[in-house]
Amino acid sequence: MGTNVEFLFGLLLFAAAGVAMILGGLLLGKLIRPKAPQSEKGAAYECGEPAVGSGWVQYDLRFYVVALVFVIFDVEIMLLWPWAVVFKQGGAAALWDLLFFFGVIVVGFLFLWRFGYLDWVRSVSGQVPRNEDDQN
Amino acid sequence: MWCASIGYWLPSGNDLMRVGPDLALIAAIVLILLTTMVTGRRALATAVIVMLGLTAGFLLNWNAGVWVSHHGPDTILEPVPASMIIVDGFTVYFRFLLLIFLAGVTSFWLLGANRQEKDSPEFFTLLLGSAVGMSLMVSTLNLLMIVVAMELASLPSYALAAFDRNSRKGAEAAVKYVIFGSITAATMVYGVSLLYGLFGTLNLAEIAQQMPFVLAEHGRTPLFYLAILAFAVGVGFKISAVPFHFWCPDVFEGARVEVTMWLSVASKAAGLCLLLRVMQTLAAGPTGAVGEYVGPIAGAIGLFAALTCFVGNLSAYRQTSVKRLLAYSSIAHAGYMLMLGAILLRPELSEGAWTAIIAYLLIYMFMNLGAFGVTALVEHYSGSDHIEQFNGLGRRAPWLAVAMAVCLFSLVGLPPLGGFLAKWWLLWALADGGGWLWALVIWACLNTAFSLFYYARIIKHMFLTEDTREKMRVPMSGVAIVQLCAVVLILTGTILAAPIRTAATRYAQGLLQSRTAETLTLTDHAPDETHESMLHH
Repeated sequence: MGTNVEFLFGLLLFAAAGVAMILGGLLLGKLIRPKAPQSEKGAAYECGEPAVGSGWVQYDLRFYVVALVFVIFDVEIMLLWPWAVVFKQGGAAALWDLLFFFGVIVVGFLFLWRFGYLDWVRSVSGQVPRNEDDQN
Repeated sequence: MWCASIGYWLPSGNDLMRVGPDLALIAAIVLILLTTMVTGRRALATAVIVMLGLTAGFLLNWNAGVWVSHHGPDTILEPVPASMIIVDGFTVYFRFLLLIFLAGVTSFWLLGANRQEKDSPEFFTLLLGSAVGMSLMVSTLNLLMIVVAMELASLPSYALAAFDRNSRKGAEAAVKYVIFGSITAATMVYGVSLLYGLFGTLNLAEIAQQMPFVLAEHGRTPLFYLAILAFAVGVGFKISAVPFHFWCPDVFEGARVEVTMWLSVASKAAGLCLLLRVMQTLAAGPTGAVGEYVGPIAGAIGLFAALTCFVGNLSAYRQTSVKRLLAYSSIAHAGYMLMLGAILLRPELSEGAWTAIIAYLLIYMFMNLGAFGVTALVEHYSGSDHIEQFNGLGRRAPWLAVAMAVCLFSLVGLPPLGGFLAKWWLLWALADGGGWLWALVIWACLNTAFSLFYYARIIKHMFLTEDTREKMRVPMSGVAIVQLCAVVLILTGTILAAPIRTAATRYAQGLLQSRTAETLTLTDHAPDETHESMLHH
């Protein structure tokens, strides 16, 4: 059991050091930094421009859709990378593998396209039916 | 290292047939999206494609089952990362369960007000996507694949919980679900990374073989337990085992009832089967190591199982929302099933344990399908799932009330219903172990007695509470499905008991044979230099 105690002690030391590094840094900063409170310091930083309005506004849902589509294709590129590295070994079979994989994703992409999720200018919600086929 | 043959890049048609059911579900998803693009959003067309996909999956699974029973289990992608996908009798069984249940959920979806639903393609894409994930969860022993499969099962579930965009409760449920799910998933990935760091392999079968050699080094045993604990957090979330059950009632109440039905059985069954498979694999390691390293894990699982069914039963007692009540009931049932995890490391007991779990899951599926089905119909035709809405159901919709009563009595575990036999076999398997397992048996019996009160409360509302509202007009097809569940429960409790037991035993034996076969091939290269962990240096 002595070895386990030793191990746990090491773990404890590691955790304590981790906490100490953060707290120590904050404490040190608090002690040595000059204090000059100004109202600009509390304002939101917007690329150096003066901020207009509050940051707590409701963002347009379209940003989320775009972000989601971006993430899907981002992850897909990530999965293409290891494939590309060993592509030569796989040969034609590897190409078919990837075309299949890519084909499934393209179906999802076409679905988004077909139903207008990629259009930046869309009908105002609540006034017009969401899709053109809603009318039939 | 890399076996760069064509076989790896292009699996043979034979191999693909083994994963055919999963591919059929994926094909159904693609087909739904393509059809929707051509014809527009049509709910009925979507449902037809789903049913076609399920039928194809069923036939392919049948084919896979026949193949497995002739040739033994199949490990696909064998040469490179062994055990990436395992197709054995248990996989085949679980897929059957999943496909039948999907068909039931789809039928209830059609019966509700969903025929005019515009978002049906999205709904079924998510539903089938999570089904593929659950199917993969149960058919792998590779840690990476487990993580990916669990995410594939979880992510669509989060979206399904919030599928009614105008429902505040649904939104609340989904936020709780996603936060809880991502934290537990992160913990699980951490545990997996620790296991990989310790053993230098992602294959659980190899990990089991190397346990005594790797863990002999000082200080590694606590790390191993830490890794297993972190891993169990992710699985516990799926099962809704007790410290990780908080999402369950909120999600079950907030989500629409088809989704609740789906999550209450499929998600839990997948998590449970994954856990049992992992336990079984770890228990197949060298004998001495199993007692020393896996024994404490089994004890911990038993403890958590006892806690889970206690908390589930206790919290169900005061619920007035029937969906919420059934959510707590499903937590309690997860606890009963989890108890079997405690006996899997004893080879002489594991056959009984697997037989019990296979039979229990089958019967549990019908109990929940029936109980949630009646709740779905009542909620749809009276606007709420509050227990008051069940008042006088015995007069207003006698066929529904009778089916509900059968399902509830079966959930309690009263003879002569399927639920009784399922619980009996489970407790019998536990009692076979003797010793401290008797405590679990007694605990489960006490809990069962206690659970009678809250199940009976619904029955009291249905038959003994007066209600002057007019009769409930429910479609015949809906009544037929819940009645079918009730009939299945009565049959499984009586004349079908012996055939189910025989079939379950056969599946269990197939599973055990496959494990021993794998153990034999792996012992040849157990203490390998290349597998020395990075912690060593």
